[in-house]
Amino acid sequence: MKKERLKENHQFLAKTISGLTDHIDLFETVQDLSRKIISQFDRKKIFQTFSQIVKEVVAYKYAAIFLFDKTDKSFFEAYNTGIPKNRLIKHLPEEKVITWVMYQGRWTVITDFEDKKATKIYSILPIVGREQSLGFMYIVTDNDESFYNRKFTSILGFVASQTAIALENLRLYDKIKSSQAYLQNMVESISNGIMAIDMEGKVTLINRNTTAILGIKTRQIIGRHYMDFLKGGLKKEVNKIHKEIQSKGYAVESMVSYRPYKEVQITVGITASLLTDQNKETIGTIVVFRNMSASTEIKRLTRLDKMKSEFVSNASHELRTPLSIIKSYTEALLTQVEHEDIETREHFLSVIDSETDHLTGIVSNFLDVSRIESGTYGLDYSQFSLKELVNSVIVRFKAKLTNIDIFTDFKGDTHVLDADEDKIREVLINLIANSVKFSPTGGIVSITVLERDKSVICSISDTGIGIPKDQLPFIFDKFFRVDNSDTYEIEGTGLGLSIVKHIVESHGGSMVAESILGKGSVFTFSLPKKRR
Amino acid sequence: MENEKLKERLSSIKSLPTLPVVASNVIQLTQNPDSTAPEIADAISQDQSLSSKVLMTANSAYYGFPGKINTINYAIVVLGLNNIKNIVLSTSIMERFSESDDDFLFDRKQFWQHSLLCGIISKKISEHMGIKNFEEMFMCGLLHDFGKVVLDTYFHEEFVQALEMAKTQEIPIKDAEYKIFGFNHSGVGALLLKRWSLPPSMVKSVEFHHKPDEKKSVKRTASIVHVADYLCRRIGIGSGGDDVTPTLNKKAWNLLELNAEIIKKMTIPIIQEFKSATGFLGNEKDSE
Ligand SMILES: [Fe+2]
Ligand SMILES: [Fe+2]
Repeated sequence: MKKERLKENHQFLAKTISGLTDHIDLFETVQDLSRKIISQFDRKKIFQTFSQIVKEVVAYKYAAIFLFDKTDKSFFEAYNTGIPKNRLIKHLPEEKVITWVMYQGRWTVITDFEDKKATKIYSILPIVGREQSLGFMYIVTDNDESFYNRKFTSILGFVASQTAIALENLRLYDKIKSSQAYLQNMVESISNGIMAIDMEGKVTLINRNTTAILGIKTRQIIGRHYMDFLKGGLKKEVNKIHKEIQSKGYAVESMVSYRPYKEVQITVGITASLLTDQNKETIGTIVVFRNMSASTEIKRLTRLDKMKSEFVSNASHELRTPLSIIKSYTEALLTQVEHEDIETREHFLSVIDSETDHLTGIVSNFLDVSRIESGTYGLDYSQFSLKELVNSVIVRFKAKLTNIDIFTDFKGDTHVLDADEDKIREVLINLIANSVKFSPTGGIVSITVLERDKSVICSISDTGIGIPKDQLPFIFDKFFRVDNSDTYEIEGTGLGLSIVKHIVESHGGSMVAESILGKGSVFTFSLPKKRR
Repeated sequence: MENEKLKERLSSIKSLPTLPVVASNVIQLTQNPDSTAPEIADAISQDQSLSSKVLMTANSAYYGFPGKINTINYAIVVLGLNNIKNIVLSTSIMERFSESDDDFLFDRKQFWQHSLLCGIISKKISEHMGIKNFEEMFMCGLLHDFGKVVLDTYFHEEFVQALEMAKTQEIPIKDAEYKIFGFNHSGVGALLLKRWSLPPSMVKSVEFHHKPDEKKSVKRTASIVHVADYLCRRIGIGSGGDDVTPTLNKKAWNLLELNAEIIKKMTIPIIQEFKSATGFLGNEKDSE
């Protein structure tokens, strides 16, 4: 009797245990599958996996997933499976039924099995998130009354809740992605180069300006160590600043000369600041690169501006001097010089004549500059010999000069050019006058003309005071005057050389200046023989 | 001590109240993960009066399904197995223990109103706390004082003594019961529900509804029932047989993270639901 009962108990236990094991197996399978849902970050894949798992539980004919649209408080079909393409599910249940099921929050069959007319069974599986309903799966199966039980109800409920988590994660993920894009846009719109590195020195963020300024060609920079792709002095300097900021918490801006591309030399300013998380823990460094060459350009423009205002004062001085000389000599001629004193009159008139020439020269220089600036400076071509032109120009100088020697040296035969003769005369006058002006008494100005295959080269050298090396690159700039305040007081508008260079270049020629301070300067221009 | 006395007394009863066979079968079936809807529908259909009660409750405003539920099968798939189990269980128990003895001191109608209200409040609190199985919490609340019915049925004279004592001495009924029986209704109810093989969590929640902080495994659910029981008196619908408002267990109250504001907001929906749920009391016809 007792044995019998024991046996019965044993059988009952065995049955219960095997039932339990079955359920545990099933739940483990479902759990594995659900993990697949949660690990998805693509809506379609989430829906696919969700539908697959549901199909393993309820062998549906077709199913569709509807999502709620929060803005217009409606739902739309987001996915379906088992339905021929481009067709939507027919016979959607009444909205109040859907609302009721969503409120209950569990898988609900909405077709009566006993309804003889029902050929298919419709059911709704709500997808409910942590705080709101996200949507539901609408499931259509054949009329099989045996598929509704507790086990399937709880499995479907579990899978739907996992799907809800996956969808909410996806929303968060999208949110993060869009705020990342927002940040990226901001970082890209900054004209400086910005690079964030983590505690290990690996790049976590970089903008295009960094790669542009530094000429980095490496494609994939994110995740790489900055020592891997930075070069030369820049690498050393960034490393120094990074170490400095991590140990001291601040770093002084430093500058480094750098060659991002062949033949481009720039000055890069580097600053850095600490990168911290929401708990104020240091998580890396932000390095900012600034192309200082841009500010060099600003410096140049500021200097040009200063030169312009200097020019105005120079020019007025330049004009006033000959004018006042002319005025006082004219006055003297009219009031003080005797009619009979022809010698004095001749002398006074020649002074007035030469000062008028001087004045004409200055004014024509001004006109040339304004013509160049307005673009109306045209060339009037003709054939002439440069040798003859040089000779005719130095005759004028020689007539006036007694204390400076001018030598000429012509190599070659013809020296014939096709150019604007008046303009080239101006070039020669300007260059020779310049050399003469800066030469001390007893100095020598020599003019050499060489002939090449297609061009004629002319050099004018003097034994003058020379030009300081740092000022040499600017002498052809408009209004530039060599700063010689502690040597000679020599007048000049500063327009001459810039006009000269412009004339030579507009003929397709070129112009260079060399100089040694205290020994003298050489100005050389070359002109093509044939008009271009 | 208490337990032994209780067991001793109950064993003296020749025929302990049993759940109707049909109800008991249905409950077992709904708890079996593999039972299908037609199987359960078959079991319910064995009892004609149970069937019609199930359909009536399923169609009641309490569930508010926007459509007509004509068959038991449909009721099962629409309302779900937990709801069906609750409907079967509550209607069976109430039908079995609803006959009033015209006793002045223990009005059955008042008692089931108290029970129903306690069930609804328990459910509402659970919903508020985000407890998934709030339908089971409804059952816990509904059956929390079930022991009183057992005492009234099987030890009627002594139970009336306890009721009188509670009244004259102005003490809670559970204390009066203890003085007379050496145990009280919570233990009796739990013991019976256990015999009916209801879920252990439900049995324990009933057993500890007066001292919810004493049993770790059901701390949450017993606390919900305890607080709901307390709130029933505050709302003033139904009666548990005594007039003394029991002391509120502070630990239980704190555990539920409720406050006056939340309770105030809950009260109207609770009363509305109570009105719609009178079908549970089996007297929907009376009120019509
Ligand atoms: Fe009680
Ligand atoms: Fe109570």
